[in-house]
Amino acid sequence: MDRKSETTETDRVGVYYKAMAVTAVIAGFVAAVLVVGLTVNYIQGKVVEPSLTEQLAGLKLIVKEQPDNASVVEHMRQLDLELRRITFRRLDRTRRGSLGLLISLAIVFFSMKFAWNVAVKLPCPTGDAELPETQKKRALFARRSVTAAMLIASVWVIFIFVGEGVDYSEVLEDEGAQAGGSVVEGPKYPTDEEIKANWASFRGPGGLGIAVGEYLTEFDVKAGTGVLWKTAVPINGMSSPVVWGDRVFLTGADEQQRQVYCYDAAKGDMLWVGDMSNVPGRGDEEVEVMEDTGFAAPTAVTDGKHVCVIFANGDIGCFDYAGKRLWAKNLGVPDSIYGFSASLAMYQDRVIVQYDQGGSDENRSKLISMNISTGSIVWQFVRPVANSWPSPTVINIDGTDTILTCSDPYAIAYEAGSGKEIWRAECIEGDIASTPIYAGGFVFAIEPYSHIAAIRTDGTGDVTETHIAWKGEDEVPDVCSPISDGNVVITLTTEGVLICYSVADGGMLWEHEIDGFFNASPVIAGDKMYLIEGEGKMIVATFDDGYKEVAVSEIGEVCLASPAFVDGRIYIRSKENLYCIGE
Amino acid sequence: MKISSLGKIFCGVVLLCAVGAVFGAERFPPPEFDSGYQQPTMVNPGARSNVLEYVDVAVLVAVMSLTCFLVYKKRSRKGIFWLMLGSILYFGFWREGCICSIGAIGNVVLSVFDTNYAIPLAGLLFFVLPLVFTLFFGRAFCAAACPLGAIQDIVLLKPVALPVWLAGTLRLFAYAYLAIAVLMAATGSAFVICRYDPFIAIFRLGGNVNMVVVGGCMLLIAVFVGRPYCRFLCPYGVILRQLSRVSRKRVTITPDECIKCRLCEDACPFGAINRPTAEWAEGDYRVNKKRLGVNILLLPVLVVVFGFAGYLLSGGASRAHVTVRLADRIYAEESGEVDDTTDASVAFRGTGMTIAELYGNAAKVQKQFVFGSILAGALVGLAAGVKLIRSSIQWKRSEYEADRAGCFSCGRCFKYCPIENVRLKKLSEQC
Repeated sequence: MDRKSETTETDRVGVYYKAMAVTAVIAGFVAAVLVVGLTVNYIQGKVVEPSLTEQLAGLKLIVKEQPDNASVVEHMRQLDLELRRITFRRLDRTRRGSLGLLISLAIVFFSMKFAWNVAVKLPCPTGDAELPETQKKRALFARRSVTAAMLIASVWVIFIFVGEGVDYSEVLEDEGAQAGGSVVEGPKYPTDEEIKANWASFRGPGGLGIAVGEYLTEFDVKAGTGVLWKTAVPINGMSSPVVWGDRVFLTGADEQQRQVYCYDAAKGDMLWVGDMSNVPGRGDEEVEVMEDTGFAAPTAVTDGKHVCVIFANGDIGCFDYAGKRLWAKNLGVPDSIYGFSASLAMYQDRVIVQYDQGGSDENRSKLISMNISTGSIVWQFVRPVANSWPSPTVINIDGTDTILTCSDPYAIAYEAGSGKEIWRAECIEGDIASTPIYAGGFVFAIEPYSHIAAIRTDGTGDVTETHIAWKGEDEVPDVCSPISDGNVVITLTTEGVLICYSVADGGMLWEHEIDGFFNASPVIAGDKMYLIEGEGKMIVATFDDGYKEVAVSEIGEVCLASPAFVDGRIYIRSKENLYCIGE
Repeated sequence: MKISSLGKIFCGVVLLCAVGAVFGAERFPPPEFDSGYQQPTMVNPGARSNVLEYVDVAVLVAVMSLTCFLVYKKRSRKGIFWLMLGSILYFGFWREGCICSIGAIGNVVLSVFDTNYAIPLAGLLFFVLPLVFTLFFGRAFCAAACPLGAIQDIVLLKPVALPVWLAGTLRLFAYAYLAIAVLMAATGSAFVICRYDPFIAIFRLGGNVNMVVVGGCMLLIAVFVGRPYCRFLCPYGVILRQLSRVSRKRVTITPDECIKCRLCEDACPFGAINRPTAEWAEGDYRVNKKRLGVNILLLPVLVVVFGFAGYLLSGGASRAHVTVRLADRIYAEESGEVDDTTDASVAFRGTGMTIAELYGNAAKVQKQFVFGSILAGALVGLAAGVKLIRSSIQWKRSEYEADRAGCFSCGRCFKYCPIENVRLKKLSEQC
């Protein structure tokens, strides 16, 4: 290679190097601009959009309250459109900016790489090759650095992470349970005395419709006499109030919303509203109910710490007394021709669900026992019955806590603890709605328009042929549940016909017809029975010696729910309000 | 010197286009949703065809085969460079970094420990094939097929040589990372390798801001420190290193006998060129033998100590599992440590599972973590112990050679060897 060609080669390399270097600098500048642009874009997404989103949410609330306000609606639409524009533009800028940044950085790197490649000079080693001392020193550093790393790691382990977290094996041992198995929790449920002192479930203790104590027989809503308070119920429902201590609970629902309301028993103030939306497992299956049943026919149940609710769409959930939803799930939309109405019952720390649906041969009906605080299923059994509308009741019969159920075609008694069936009697057919009661050694089950059957409770297995003591066939109710003081059992038809039977032999003692219609089941308090007439009357009468009317009070509103009686106060749900009657 | 006018115009156009991309107005603004707007029917995109998975496998095999050809037959750094670019484009930007052999560790481990989990055949092949290639040809996968390695390799501009002792110590992170990744996958907690892939946000042109920042930082480091992720973090690299030690073929700096010209001495930015060793004095040998004996005895102690450290860490580590996290949350809610609920705790209470069952499951997971953490700790202890032993051995080398474990087969050192230049006829034998 002569001198001239060497110079030409050097010049060529120099031009190439500079071109690449300039390209790298310019591309680097572009990359820096893009980084700034992307950062601004990112900040815009974090600052501007949340502010607009907040504004939009506020406008949505206003539109919800004022749906006919055209200017607000238009404003909301414009803002919504603007927000979408900003968001999509930002996303598009991010995408384009990232791509631009990538390309410009690639140009930077390739330019610099090529520039470096043409400029690089091959090494020219100086000095001696590696000496043993250098090698020994390197090995020493290696050992020391590994040792130092181990020490640092040890300190890190000791001071940062040791002892973190809960040991669940110990937790389970502490709770007296085995890992992976079920835990027998301590007695976290109310005593019998507490249950009797409250109105924890549909028709009170044992589902008997028997109140403890003395109650007003007469009041005047217009004058306010005897009415301690009256408060509005946001959403209507057929469910009855339940009361525990100073709390009253109700449910309400329509096609869109399902709610539980907690009121202060002393003043009637609404303490909180529990929302049952977004329930896990809820599909989009449509729920069809009859208007008379509605979406909130089942009554809640409470144990003094929790309140459990269920609705026509199969949503079941539990709230604590602060209104916090503890759990909720959907049991599947029940196949019920009039709409699901069975109230919840309670046994110890469990909530009992009579989930009857479909035909009796479809094996779709179930009796379910769930932990009240967690919603976990303790047991569930398929029931050979059709869809029905009565509620399960839990009562101690001859020392055994028993769940009583009635559905076409069986009245069935189950052990409350295990869910094991004790006996069944094939004695009722059709659209069963009356809740069974236990009185005087008999379980009373009602087949609408047909008969009331008295079933002896000392049997096991199928007792159809052996334990049905008697049947009463006079003016049999289709909705209301019976009441009994142990000596007599009284039925009430929707049309207002009262029939009183002797518990012992089923002999009819008296009958009486009241003008009106009745969906609410009667309640016995002392020697009197309280009847809530559908158009809004409370009728009080004695029943020992035939029907003797004591008093009639006008409520003035449609009343279809059964009342609750606690501690001298009567809680009556009308179509729109909740009344507290007392002194 | 002048840059040609054409070059200036080209650069200007490219750069203006890039800037315009950021600040340009929407050419097609989003549609206005008037009241008459009909919501389009939601259409779910179909799953990727299985055939394409096998195309990925075929591309992987082709890239690794071509790498071997370029390294051993052609000895072409340029060819490897362009192959790396191809891998970045295909496995990186086109396949968006998934599927990858490094992440496949998690899938393979989970399939071993969880009988309900089946790894796709393509995933298994992505894990196994690079190992097989490594057994025969060294780290051909790292050379050009791995997009993570390739992107770091390409951005390396100004390599800074790390001291050997420091590089060796930093490599312990890779063992720890492998141990953690296997532990997390085996317990079904997480695929941490995939979750914390630093380059995924770059390949996907977006993602979690933290990961974008981590990826950017990693690339910035890679400008000065050769392949930092591959050398100090890559858990798959840990396996490949060990297999590469016993590979059938290995990369040689020179195509013929080394003349110890020392020209290649600093050629490797990854510190993977071992120098010839000098003879030690007799006294040094004796001292070193004793030290070696001590370190060999220390090995089981380190395994036990680090295993115990793993045991201590197991409680905290188990919180990586969703069941334990949920149990912690429920425990906190039940014990009144917290007043609110989370979506997870509300959802749990809707499942029908009892708290005791949850605690039971969490206890089972914690037991798995105790066992797994002990093994993971022991692995790290073993790696540290072996490193101490290796640093106590007097290695004997007579020429410059590529480190069998650490060489990425990138081919950078080839051009430094005068013998290679003679082979390529760039130099005459007389020179």
